[in-house]
Amino acid sequence: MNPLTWPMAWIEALSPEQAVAELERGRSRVGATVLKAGGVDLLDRMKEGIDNPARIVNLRNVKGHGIEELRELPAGASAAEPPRLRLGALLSLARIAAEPLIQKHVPALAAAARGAATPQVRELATLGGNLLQRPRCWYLRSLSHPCKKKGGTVCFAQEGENDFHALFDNAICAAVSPSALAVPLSALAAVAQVLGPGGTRQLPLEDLFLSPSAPGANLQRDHRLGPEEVLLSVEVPLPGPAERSAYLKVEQKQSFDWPLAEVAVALRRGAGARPVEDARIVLGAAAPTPLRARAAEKELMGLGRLDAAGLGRVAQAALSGAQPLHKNGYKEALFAELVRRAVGLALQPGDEVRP
Amino acid sequence: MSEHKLEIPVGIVGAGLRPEERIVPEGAPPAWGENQGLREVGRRTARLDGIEKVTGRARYTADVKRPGMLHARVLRSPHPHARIRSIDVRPAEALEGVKAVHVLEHLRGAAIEVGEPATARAAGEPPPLPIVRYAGQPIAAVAAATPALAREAIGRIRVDYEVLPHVVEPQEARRDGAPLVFQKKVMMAGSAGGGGSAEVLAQKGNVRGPRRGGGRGKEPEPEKVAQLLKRAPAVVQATYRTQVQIHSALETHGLVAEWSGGANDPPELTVWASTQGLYSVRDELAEVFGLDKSRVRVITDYCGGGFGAKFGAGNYGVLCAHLARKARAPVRLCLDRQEEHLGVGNRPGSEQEVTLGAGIDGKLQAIRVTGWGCGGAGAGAGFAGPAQNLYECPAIYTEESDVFTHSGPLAAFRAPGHPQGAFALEQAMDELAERLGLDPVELRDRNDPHPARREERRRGAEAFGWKERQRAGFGPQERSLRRGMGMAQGLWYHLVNLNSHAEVRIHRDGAVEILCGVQDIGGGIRTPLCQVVAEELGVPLARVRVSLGDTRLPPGPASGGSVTTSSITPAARLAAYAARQAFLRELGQALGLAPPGDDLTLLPGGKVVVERAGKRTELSFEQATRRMRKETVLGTGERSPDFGPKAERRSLPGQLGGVHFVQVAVDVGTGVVRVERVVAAHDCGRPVNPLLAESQIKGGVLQGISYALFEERRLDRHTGRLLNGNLEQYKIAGSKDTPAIEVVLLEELRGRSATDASGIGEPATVPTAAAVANAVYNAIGVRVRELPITPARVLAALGKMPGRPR
Repeated sequence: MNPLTWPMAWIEALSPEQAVAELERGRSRVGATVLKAGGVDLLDRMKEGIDNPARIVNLRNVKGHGIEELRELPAGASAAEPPRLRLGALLSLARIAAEPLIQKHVPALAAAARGAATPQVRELATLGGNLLQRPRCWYLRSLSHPCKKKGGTVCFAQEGENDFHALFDNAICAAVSPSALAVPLSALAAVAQVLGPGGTRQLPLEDLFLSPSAPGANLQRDHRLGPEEVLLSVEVPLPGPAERSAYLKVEQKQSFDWPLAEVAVALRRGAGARPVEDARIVLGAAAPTPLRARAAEKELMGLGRLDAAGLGRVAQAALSGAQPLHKNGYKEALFAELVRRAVGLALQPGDEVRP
Repeated sequence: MSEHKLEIPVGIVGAGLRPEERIVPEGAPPAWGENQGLREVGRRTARLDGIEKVTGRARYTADVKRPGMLHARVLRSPHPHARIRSIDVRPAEALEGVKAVHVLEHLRGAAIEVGEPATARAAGEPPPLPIVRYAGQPIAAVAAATPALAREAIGRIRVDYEVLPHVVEPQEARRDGAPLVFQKKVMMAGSAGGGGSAEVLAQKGNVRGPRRGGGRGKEPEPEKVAQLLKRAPAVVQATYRTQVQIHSALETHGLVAEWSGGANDPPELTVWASTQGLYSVRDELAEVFGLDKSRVRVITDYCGGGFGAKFGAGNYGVLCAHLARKARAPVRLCLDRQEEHLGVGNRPGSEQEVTLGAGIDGKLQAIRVTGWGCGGAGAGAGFAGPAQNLYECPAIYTEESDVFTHSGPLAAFRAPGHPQGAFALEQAMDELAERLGLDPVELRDRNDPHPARREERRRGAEAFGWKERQRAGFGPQERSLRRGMGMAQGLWYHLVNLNSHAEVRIHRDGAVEILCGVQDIGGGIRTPLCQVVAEELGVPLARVRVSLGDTRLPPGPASGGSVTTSSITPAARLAAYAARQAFLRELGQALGLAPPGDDLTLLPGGKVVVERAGKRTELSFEQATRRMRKETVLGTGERSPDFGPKAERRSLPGQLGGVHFVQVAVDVGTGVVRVERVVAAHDCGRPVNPLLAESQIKGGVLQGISYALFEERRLDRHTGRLLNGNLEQYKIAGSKDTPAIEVVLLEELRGRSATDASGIGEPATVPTAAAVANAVYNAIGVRVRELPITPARVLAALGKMPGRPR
């Protein structure tokens, strides 16, 4: 049904609870109820005709549960509550890019926000929207290609034009996760705060996203939020004195382009025989979800010396599990290079080699 | 008109002028000297419509609103190849708010089968519907009260397609047994912007041609070329590929159509069109509807770019006018961005094998370029212009074929064929220079005597710092960045459209008006028109107002082939010259002067000197105009052919030049190429407004960079459908991809017309991609011979693909 001739309801939510209630109410109605924050992605999809919601719940004026705030939280009683930054889901990318607290503590996140889209889009786009937007796969975005993510039975990218598609975990659906912010946030072990009909719950960011190969995966959802849940905020642990992070990406164009590859690294420096005590390496534009490069992390933590040969082995390890499609083999070279550079950058901040 | 011979100083200002004989019509205004001696012409006047544009007051076609206007939308085929068994429009017509539905009878803008389809039909039987030859081909359109309703209504039209096998990749289309795009020989008429291929050529399978050519219009000499290449001391040979580029004008194609006239009056059609050719829109609509040209009016106040794809009414325009007639109401049909990418034109792709042979002295001995172009369901996808015309070479042979695929047809696009041809030829020249151990600029100096290009190479190289360039792969490095410099040159032609008229009016209050039915495609022709008239009359620029963009005004040229400035500014000067004479005649009579003793002179600055009975008085321009007895005097002017002797289009004097110098930085770890700096040296005869000419050049360079690095229409080969029909996934250069661009603009007096202006829009984009590619080679020491130069291609060239990085 065309949304423009179907009566479409516009609902102004003022609190997260109200948004959840509207989602619950939507369950018994014909047509989809969707949440809209900045609207950057949703309106694109509606114009492309691939989403035709019956009810749009506008979140722009919602307040409460920290959804609109940036706040520094002190350590709690347990180790699970280190001092952390809470980023409300409605913060704009422009604010995240410009915020001194974020620049100081989590430069990787500020870099990802600063480099996304265009100044106009960054003013409008929100953290929540960035995380939960749908992939930009050109088969998904094309009404004339009824792909699996639109309820069809084919992934056209498998045998089609797949140079911008997934290098890993691509056997079922090869669309890559589009969220730039999810890459550093996953590396930083951020935790999502979610409100649903039963109250709030926490979800580590790397579990937020749903791989098409996960058991019981529904390809029309890209994440694990329930149909009646609202993302409230994301909490990022503040780094300790020996902890560093970095984010790098490669784009063909320097203006308004989706990355060909992204890498975020968060690590803790050690001393003596173990120069890197802990490391999390996450690849973006690599797979249908932000992807932990666990083999590379292990290799990095096992290094006795930080030299070029060692970093080369880390980079190689990041490619384990890669399954190039016929047009995206170059991404292997990109990820190896970016992992090497991002680890180097995290080890020596300010020593950035611009990709 | 009688003619006389005159010696006119010609040449490049700053490089020596020399007198040359020209045959000039009697009564022509005196030749202007260098810009330096002129008041308004040659000044860097900011465009007069700039404020209108940036404040949003400028009215584009998309902004036009008419009382009771309906909104139209086109139904397009989702299939790349199909026969239409039947169409049922009744469900759409039944929708409330739908006012008209029209099924397209004839497809425009694609190649047509020769002799199609005069098969016998029973009386009253409707003609067969067009065969679908590309996904996105227009089938029908609907006019409704709202855009949403129109969108809904086209979804209700039932089309019974017999889907046929398709082919969208040219390499596959060339094979035996590939699905045929056309069953019979085809042709395609060119537009005012060039392109097309009206001759009948051999055709086998999906390959049409070849069309053979030789140097500068000479006979093709394949055997001589083959012999010379066999003997030549230095030979380079390689194959180059270019992609399909979409015009991507900011304003999409669009039209508002409104009929008037009743039962007793003859019908008249008024359209507001986003076009670069008012008269081609008028003529096409007059033909389709059987109207006198005088009964079709086309208006274009502002046009947001066309680049060659906006001539004629197009399928959308014809549909729109049909809908407006059926609905008896004004109808608006503006395409969306996806429709722009689907089926209103593109720059065709190509594959070219280039072989150059030269002596050890660096002199070219033979040039051979063979290959094919692919413009989907369109014909005329050639590229041989640069190979045929750029260099002096004793033997040249070119061979171009069309390969047809089931995809959107080509259209003329900013210097049709030339960026493709230059990309191949100028990389081959770069390779030849290296083979011979010659500087690339020096190699061109030895083979290209075109005086403007010679000067452009000299001044451009100096402005760029070309002597800092190092051997390929040995330039400056910064971590993984490799910097390189490259140059390339191009050509276009000094072309003129004689359908160029103007009228200049001088009113009693001292106001000056210029009327001329040229359209402003976006280059800003209003401003140079005012400058030329202000110059001729000596009045301040602010007193001159221009009306254009309407077929009710004196006819103007279509803006194609870079003819606008070269065609219309001489007509404007002649009109101003005639108006000036009419004014002095009228003033003399009003003042009761008695020549020859009495006299009137109009001075630069607008002052009028009256000499009566030996007494001299001065009047300001306004004081003088107030003495007129008539409210208005006027003069008209038209473009006459260039002053003789005639310069052939392909000859050196008929050519425009253009030399680009480019610095790139290549990240050898990621394959990302950034253009850091460009010097673009160009000639366009007399620059009437150097600021606007530079603006055109910068736009051409930017479009060339975008072509070199980013742009490519992508189709899925299995479905034959478009994948990147938007400006997000169709990659196009943005602000941060824009390098520092320095323009070196020659002032060249050619002694060819009353203003001596030539065009600049097209030459500006011809050499860029080749210069970028040469700079990439200089940076990394490996050549990328395929566009666009993506990270994947650079990494492949560097041997970092496939498999593991080194």
